[in-house]
Amino acid sequence: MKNNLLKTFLFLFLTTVLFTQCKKSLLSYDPTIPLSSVDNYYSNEAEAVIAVNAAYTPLSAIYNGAAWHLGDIMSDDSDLGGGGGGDGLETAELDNFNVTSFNPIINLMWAQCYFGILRTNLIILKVPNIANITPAIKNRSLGEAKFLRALYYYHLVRLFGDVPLYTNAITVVEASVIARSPKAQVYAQIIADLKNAETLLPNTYGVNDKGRATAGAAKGLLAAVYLTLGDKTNAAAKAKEVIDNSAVYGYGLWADYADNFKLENENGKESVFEVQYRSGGGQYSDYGAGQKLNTFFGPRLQNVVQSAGYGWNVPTINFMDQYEKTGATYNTIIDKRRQRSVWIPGDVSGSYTQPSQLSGSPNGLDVKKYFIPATNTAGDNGGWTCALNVPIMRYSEILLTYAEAAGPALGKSFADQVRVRAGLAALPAGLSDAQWLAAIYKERRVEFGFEMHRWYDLLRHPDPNYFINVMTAAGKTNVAAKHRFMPIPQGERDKNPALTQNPGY
Amino acid sequence: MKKIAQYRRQHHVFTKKILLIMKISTFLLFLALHVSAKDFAQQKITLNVRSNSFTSVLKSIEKQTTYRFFYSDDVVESNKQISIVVNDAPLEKVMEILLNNSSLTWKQMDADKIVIASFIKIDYPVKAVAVSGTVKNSKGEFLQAVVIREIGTNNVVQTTADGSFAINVKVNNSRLEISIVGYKTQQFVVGKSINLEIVLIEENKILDEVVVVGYGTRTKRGISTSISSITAKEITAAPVADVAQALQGRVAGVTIAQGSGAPGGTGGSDIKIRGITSLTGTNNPLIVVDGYPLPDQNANNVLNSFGTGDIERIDVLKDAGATTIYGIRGSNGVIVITTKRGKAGKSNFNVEVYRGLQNAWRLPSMLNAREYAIANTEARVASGLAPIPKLVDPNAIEAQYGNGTDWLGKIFRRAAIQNVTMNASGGSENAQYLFSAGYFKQDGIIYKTDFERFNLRFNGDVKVNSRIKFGNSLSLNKYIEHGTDTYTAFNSNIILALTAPPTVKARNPDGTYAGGLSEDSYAEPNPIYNLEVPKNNNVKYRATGNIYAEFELLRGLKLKTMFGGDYSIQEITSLNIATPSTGGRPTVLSSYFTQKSLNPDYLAEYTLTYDKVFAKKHKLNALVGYTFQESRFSYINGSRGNSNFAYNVPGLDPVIFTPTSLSQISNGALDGISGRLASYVSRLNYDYDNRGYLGFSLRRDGSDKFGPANKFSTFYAISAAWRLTQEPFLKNVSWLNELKVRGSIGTVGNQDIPAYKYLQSINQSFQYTFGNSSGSGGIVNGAAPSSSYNPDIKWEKNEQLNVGFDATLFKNRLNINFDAYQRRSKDLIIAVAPPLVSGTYETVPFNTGTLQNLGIDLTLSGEIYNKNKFTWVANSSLGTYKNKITSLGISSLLERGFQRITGGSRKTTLGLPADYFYGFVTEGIFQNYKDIASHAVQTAGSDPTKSTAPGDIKFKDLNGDGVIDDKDRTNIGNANPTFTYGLTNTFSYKNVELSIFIQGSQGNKVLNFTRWYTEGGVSNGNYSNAVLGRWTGEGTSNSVPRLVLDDPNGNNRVSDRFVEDASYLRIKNVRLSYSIPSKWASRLNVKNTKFYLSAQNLLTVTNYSGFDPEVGGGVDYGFYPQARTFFAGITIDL
Repeated sequence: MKNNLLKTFLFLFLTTVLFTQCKKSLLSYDPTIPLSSVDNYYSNEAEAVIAVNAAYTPLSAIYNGAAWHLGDIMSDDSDLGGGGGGDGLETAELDNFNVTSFNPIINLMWAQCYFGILRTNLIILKVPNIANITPAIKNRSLGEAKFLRALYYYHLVRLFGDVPLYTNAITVVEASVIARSPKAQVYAQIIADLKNAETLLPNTYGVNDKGRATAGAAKGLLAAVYLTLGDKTNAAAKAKEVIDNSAVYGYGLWADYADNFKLENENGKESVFEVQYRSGGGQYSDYGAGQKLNTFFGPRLQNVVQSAGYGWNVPTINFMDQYEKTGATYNTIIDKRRQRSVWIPGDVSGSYTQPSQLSGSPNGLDVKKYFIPATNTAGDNGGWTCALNVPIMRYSEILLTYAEAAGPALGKSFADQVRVRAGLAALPAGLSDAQWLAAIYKERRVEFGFEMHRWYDLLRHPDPNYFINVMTAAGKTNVAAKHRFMPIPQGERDKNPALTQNPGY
Repeated sequence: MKKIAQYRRQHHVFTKKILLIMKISTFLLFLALHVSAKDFAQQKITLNVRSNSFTSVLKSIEKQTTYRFFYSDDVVESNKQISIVVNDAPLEKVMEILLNNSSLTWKQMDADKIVIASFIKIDYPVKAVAVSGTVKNSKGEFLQAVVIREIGTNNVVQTTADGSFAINVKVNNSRLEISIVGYKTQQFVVGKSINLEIVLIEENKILDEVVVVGYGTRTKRGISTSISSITAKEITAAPVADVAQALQGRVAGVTIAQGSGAPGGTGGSDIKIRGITSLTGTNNPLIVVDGYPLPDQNANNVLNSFGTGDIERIDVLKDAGATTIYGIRGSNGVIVITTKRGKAGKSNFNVEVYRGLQNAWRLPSMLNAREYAIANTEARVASGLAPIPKLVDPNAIEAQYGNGTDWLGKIFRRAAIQNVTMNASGGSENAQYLFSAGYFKQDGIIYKTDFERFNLRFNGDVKVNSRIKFGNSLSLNKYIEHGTDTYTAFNSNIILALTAPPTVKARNPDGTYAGGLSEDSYAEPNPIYNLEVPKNNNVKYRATGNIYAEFELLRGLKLKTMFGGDYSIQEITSLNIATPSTGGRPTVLSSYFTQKSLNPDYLAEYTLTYDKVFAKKHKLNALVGYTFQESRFSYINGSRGNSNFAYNVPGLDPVIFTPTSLSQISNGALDGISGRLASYVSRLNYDYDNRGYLGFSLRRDGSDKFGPANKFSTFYAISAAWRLTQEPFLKNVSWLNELKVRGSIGTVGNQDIPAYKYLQSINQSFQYTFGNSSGSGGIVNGAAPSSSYNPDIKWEKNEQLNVGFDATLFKNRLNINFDAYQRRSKDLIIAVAPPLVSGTYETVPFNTGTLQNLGIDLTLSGEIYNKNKFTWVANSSLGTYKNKITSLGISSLLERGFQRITGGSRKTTLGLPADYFYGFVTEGIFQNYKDIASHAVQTAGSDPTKSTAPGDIKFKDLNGDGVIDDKDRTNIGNANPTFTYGLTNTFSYKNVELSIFIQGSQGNKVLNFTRWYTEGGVSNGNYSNAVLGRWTGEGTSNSVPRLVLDDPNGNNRVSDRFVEDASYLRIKNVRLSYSIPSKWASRLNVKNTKFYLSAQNLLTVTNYSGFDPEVGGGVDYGFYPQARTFFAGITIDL
């Protein structure tokens, strides 16, 4: 008995000593913890691919939560519908040109673009150091990162003008003092990234990777960037490069315009680059895997789409007037694109008929481009998560970019391809440059209606007052020169005194 | 002298020869030294002996001490029966009593050897004067076993049961010392009076109370820090599962608000000791149960798994002097819980049973069917919508529905509560045990909610020999909770019941759930459906225990080793089954979710303590130790949703987990260590002559949460106290029995940040999709940092200063404890929202900013009346503090918003209390269009002629820019009370006792979010009675706005309109008890039996308009209100 006690105490003493001795190691973190840090991640091929996947995710949020408010509702194409009152105040601010630096849509765009930029920067910095990686995957990953970085900066520079430009793994302290770089520097970075991306990216992907950036997408985006900068020569050259190699990239126009917006045709032949969505029955969120446009654009509270339908994005009469028609009513529109783009009164889907008037939509108009009926539960099973992808660039844009940049002589046949598909006659020959520009602008407006391009087209017009004139004519009398650039989010300026505000805000 | 004598020392038999030599030498020694060499060890002896033999008394002393007696049988063989009652007495005193009036004397030989031998009275004086008398206390009760000693001699007697004594003294100017534990020792000169009537003044018994401090105990007398305590009696008075709720109002400076009145306290209790110290870290105190610091589970449910009946006492350590010993976890104070343990002596068996009924003490009044029809139509017409056809004619509604469905009446109910606790305890001098078992069941006052708990405890202590002691504490618990959502703004069933129209029935005639009809234009779920159909189960198993061993290495030097574990396993399941009609949910698919989580925590602790008295007056107590603690947390969950499994599928049917499509399942898991601490503790207490006290504590903590450079941190504290009443100038002030001044200064820390924030971690939860498949295929994972990092992050440092005094006045009838404190959190950990340019969005902790609390704690307690068997004892506590941000460093502003209210938020800014309500200021109601035109545009970005109409709220344009927008928000109040208080009055007369406990809070504000739903026109839901006084035309109201659906003016944005004064005074507990007289008890063969009737939350006085003013967190989302409970119980001690 006594002996045992002695042994027990001997044991206790020893454990005391042992525990005390290894205390340093007890506090260093355990290598078995599945904790990954920026320092130890990006170490193999699988991690490179997963990191690149995360660089795409901001696209889901941008196109769910910001791009259509800015690209379409702020333009003359559509207005905020919905329930009125306090419903969608942040969108109303954009629609009515009294936007402030507190606007959450502006903030979302800013934030998501920078999330993408940090992620692509890390890939571009870290992936070259991975020893054990297939060269094709390495190039592809770097190419995707550069393409996406260019895309995010392109969104930022068009919306805000001068913005903080960085290509490093920025720390929170650095991010608190960074200043805005001139637009020209930002564009230079975009062009450099895209030029690099077009050499690194593959032309096509296997079936499981469709939706990733391709060489064609990089070239197409580069053409659009040149066009935005007014560099017609390079825009035409780059667009032509894509057109000439369309077989390599598998590009072509669908016979039917509506085929572009079918679940079964996602990433199809006309798709240059699009945001990928999947139905997950998820929650109401800008950040989920699903697309919420179907619910937000669906006729208000008619239950023809999942989750009732909000009718927030209501086409303007001015937009409807762009469609070529034979009579006074919308029934007489001959442009085939209308059927997939806009709900007009009398449109039928199953047992549903669009009424002549809806809450928030006095003329019974709604956007139909992303419409998946409530009955199609594979495409949308509720919870504001629709599976339908949203195009960022279609092949028809390449055609119209080339047509615009190359001028009437060289470009007419390409513009006509788009018009013919819509069931319209070819453009008249011998248009002046100004007439040509107007014709292409009108064509782009109906071809890409509610594809979130219009506002940026208004801004890049050679006449710097174009957007002011157009919007004033559309009844938006608040519009002013300052609206060329949106305000820098106030929250960002609070945290970083070096961030100046755009004039007028 | 006998030829054979037996000497005792551990059963050894000595030879006669040795004996003889020893005896002679002993004798000689005695002659030489007499009893003057008194360097006795300070081992204390407690005896309660009635008529026992001399030798058995000596055996008892040997059991308690290391003393060993040497005597020959012939010396002590007299059959004299000895009675002796001493408590914590020194050897000297005990021996004097034992040997009084005998011919024996004694001598301490070595450290522990006591020799008793015959004494030859050489020059002992003849006793000259016979003195007798009685000893009473101040209440007039005779005192037994009082020691009367003639000073300067060994002449000692004790008083008998009737308080009388008789002693022969040398001369008539002899001095007598009269002493007994618990009373002040007095001296008398015999003088001429030989019949003394002595009244002893009670020593303040509180001073002898043993307080549990970190890693040890101390008597209250020597406490130099700020510690408040409550005992089992107060803890068990409240019918609650969570002991934290029993602390409410009992301890000055401790503010407790219940997060929810849900049964079993599963909503958690918001415990703040002296306000908050941290903005983003935890503000929960560290909770230590039987020496085991429990892992912080955000204080939610930490304590509701333990049986309240097992708790012996709770000590609340409030200042740095007391909490520094817990270092990096000590900044929010420490709650030390000690459970009951067995005591040597007779065994005890105790049963306590209570049963009761609970109901809601108040329910808001809602509109009846007729009023609802009128209000709804009015609101719709005002917003330009067509009225709901069904509601157009209020008379028809009244005819059809009467008053309509009383939804609140349907979801609230009268509910039962019951509790049974049994414990058995006892043991011998060498081994003590306590077993207890408890069962607690509380039905919720909301239909279908309940809580049930089983708990078992075994605490044991074994003394192996005079040097080695082992023991353990073990508690095994299980609880089962069936809850419902009462905590989210969106889905709370209380909110649903408030807003469900009275013109919607709960059920259709065929028994299916009603609601969701287009004719009602109300599509929220039927609350009865929500309570009946989804099956939410929350089961928690918890085993908490430790084993210790204590080894006395040398006299006064003890090594204690403790190993402990706290393992909790939680199973959450929720089954939601599609039903034929689900009232408001036209298509609900079945779903099932289950999660198992495991929360093991381990502790190893080694401490070395040393006690030593130098030159009688200087007492040292030193402690050094090392402890290591590791917490882990892991869970795994799985769910299947959007599927069509049938109603009767039992929870474990594999069909639930056999999905038809991958989109139906999802799972999650977390696996890892959440924290490790390796720490060194040390403390030194120095007591000078029971007068001055000095304490020094130092702790060095290593935490794995911080980067390599900041893993270790050191905390120190110094405290001092002086008992002024021991000084000559105050010693004879009769009205002042005790006055001690105290002060402490020190630092403590807070380490509550997510782990590994010194690294930039990769978030692997991003998703995107590739591939051509439609539907849900093609989802791929993505990984990227979503937070930035701070390589320099370290603990939060809290500097605390405390000054106070403890006083006892008027013959120990009034006790005052007063503390004033300053607590400054420097290097405040603030989660700084990064600039989004950083590419990250999760907050990063930085050590920046300073938060300050200044406050006062006051406790008054005392006996107000005590005569003729009637006593009235009152106990009150009051705490007040002011919280202020004195610096925010790099984090210029912090905002917390409610997504459901436009522009609503909470904010923390410089110079103001943390987390105040931030919103708009109202200035009445627009009475007409002229009024609107002359005021600022009320809704930024809208046309005021469309969005604002007479009858809408007029918001104040604070910045005067003509537009009401985000910039017009300001501080509109905060949830900090000006002061909180508690008052207990206990009246007793003979066997009857009445105790009334009043508790309250003054000056705290609550943002009443329920009014957003019930006064606002946010939906077609029902309205509260308040809208009956609404604006209906110019001059009709200047406070309640018009009714309009969709709220075009934003009347509902967070404004002072919804911020209410939630001060309250509550009769928290009333208890009337009756103990059966002892003669009946003995006839029934029980020690004691007590019956009681009690009421919890009997009466509440408040201006708050919601369900209940006690809203944890300060925002009322329609929380589960507290119940008013009437209950009756019985306690039997066998």
